[in-house]
Amino acid sequence: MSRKKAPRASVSRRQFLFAGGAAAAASGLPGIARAAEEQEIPKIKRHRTLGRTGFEVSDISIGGGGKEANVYRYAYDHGINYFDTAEGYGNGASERRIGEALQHMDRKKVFITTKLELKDDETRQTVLDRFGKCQERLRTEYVDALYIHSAPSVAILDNAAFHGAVKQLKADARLRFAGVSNHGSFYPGDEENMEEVLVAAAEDGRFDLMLIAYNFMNRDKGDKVLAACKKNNVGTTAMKTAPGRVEMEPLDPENPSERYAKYIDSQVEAGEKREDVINEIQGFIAETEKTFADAKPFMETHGITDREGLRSAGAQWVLSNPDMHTICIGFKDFDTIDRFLPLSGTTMTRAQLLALDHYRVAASSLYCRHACTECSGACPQAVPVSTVMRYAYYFTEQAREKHAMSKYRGLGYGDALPCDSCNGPCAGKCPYGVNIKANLLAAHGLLTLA
Amino acid sequence: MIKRVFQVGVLLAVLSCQAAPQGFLTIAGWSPHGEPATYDAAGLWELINGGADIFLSYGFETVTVQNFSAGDVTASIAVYDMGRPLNAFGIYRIEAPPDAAALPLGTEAVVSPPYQCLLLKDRYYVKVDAYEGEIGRATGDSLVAAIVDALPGEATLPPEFAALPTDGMVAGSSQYSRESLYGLAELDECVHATYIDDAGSVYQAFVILPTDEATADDVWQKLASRWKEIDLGGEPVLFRDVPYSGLVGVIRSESGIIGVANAADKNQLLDRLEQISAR
Repeated sequence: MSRKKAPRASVSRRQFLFAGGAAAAASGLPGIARAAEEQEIPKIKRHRTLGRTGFEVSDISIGGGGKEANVYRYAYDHGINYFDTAEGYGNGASERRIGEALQHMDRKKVFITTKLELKDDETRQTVLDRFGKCQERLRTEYVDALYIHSAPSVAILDNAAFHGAVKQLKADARLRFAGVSNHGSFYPGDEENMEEVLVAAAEDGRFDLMLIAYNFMNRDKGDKVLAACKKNNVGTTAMKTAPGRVEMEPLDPENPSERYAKYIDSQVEAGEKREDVINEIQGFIAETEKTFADAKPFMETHGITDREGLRSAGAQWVLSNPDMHTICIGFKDFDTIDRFLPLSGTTMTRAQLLALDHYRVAASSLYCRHACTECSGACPQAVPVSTVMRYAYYFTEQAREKHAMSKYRGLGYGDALPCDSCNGPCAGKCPYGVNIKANLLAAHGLLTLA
Repeated sequence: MIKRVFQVGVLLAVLSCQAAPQGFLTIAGWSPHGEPATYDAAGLWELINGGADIFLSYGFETVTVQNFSAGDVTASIAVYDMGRPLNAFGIYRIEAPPDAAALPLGTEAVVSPPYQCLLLKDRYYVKVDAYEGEIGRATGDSLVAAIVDALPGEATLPPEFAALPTDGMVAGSSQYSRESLYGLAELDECVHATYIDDAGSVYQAFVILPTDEATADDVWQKLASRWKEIDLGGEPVLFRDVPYSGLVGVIRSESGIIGVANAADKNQLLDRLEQISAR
């Protein structure tokens, strides 16, 4: 294999602009600018008591699969002491990575949670067997908490196999606590809402921990769960702490983009006047622009000039709530840990919270909320609204463009959503005022790079 | 309630779970139960919950699943179509237990008594989970062989691995990572493997995909904006420190960008780059 002459390092204009934008975004957030200037290694600065477990948990924690063992080590060495995993993450690969990393840690100083999805024919013994495998992969004498993974209904909270196994495992000192996770349904109407399941779990008495989808845009639902957890001294972990955001492309009525042209043509074929369709699109674009104009003062004050800034601000908003004990982030690399750690121990000032609330109100009609199924059944074509919007969220807020597009492609809509040939009976079905059709079309454009 | 159940049934039927093509799998000695079902990317959550995330990140397209039985064993057999062999290889290598003995069947296969067999062939990753009875080694071996026979495609390594030098590579160590190799946000789309250097030390080497010149130029510029640069025989080497695992460095070659990791210092890094790019 012969070597090829490499180009000398140079910084393109695009790279320069990107780097400048990222720096501007970061500099507005507490801690980040200081860390950059002084080259400090950030560390966790605040711990909270994880409900009745009594564990002093770092306010930022790490979860999900698909990362190297050294990422867990790095998190631990920077003060993160809560690791979330599941049997189903990579057929146990995530647990193996944690097990490998645990060999470099003081076991007593970390809180390890894993999760089992319960099947219909589960028995106490099958739960015990599966847990035993989890424990082997985690290479630990005990696991701190076992969750029911993505509990789909209140009924499953009573699963005798799970509770029988938990009782046995606690007696054997192999398990300390039990919990429930739920991040909303994946199809409109197919499962009970997150808050129904988690509030019931908090009041049940047998569950010590909850894993909740929570951010400043879906606070109304999440707050109900948090109130129930606080009342019952249940430990709380947040996931999906950044809200999604979808922006509209401008419309030139004389020369509409292919996507707009297709939509306009379909509506005209369906009997709408071309002028009315154009007015409808322009109205939504104007609404979008007004939203971001309203929020501009806050965004500029706090450095939220890109998605990374919004992600950080969203995390900081959750960190400001003392009833949420830790926020679980799916860090896959060292850089992302470095970016988030300076947020530990920070809280938003009253003025910042008000500003973010202002943003929430302004953006309310644009944001499709996690774990919300209020528009269930509104679409005659059965488009899974919340699923499509979740993919847009992965694209815009988690910067997982390929992943989001791959998932969206799997829905099988190809070049066009059914919305293109629909007169929109979903209009007005969102209690938060989200323009469902316009958001779906925007998401489609984003996820297909149309 | 009835209405809701009906809605759920219709939605799930339409959105996620469709009848599989006739003749999904004919497995010698095993009888199918019920109808096979196919799930797309949206429906995968229904089948494997949060485990879907990693499949989707590897380009998952569809999975067809059906129960089969033989003697006192009943197992679900799920055939994941990952779109291309490289994706199937990546997810297989993540999910295959490292301590399970590999079988010389398909592209790769393992039997993990008493409940599971995994196998890889072409763009298909197959997962067998027993839920009644146990899958012993002999049963597992014959079942895997029968599934390999029933699946279309080639039982060869994905062609992208040809970019990795074979000299000094530890057998069975190759892998494909779609993102954040070694925990580095800047290293996506890599094939990599474990090597033994001339001094007998173990290290990792990788090639960034795809290997066309335009992509390699973009990636190189991106790395150059963040990594340090040193010289190797008049050619630039980009490198950085990786927490807990030493230095990682890259150099341009005919295969695109090739790199090594786990170097204790710059000298070792340059030595290994010299060795790997000469292989």
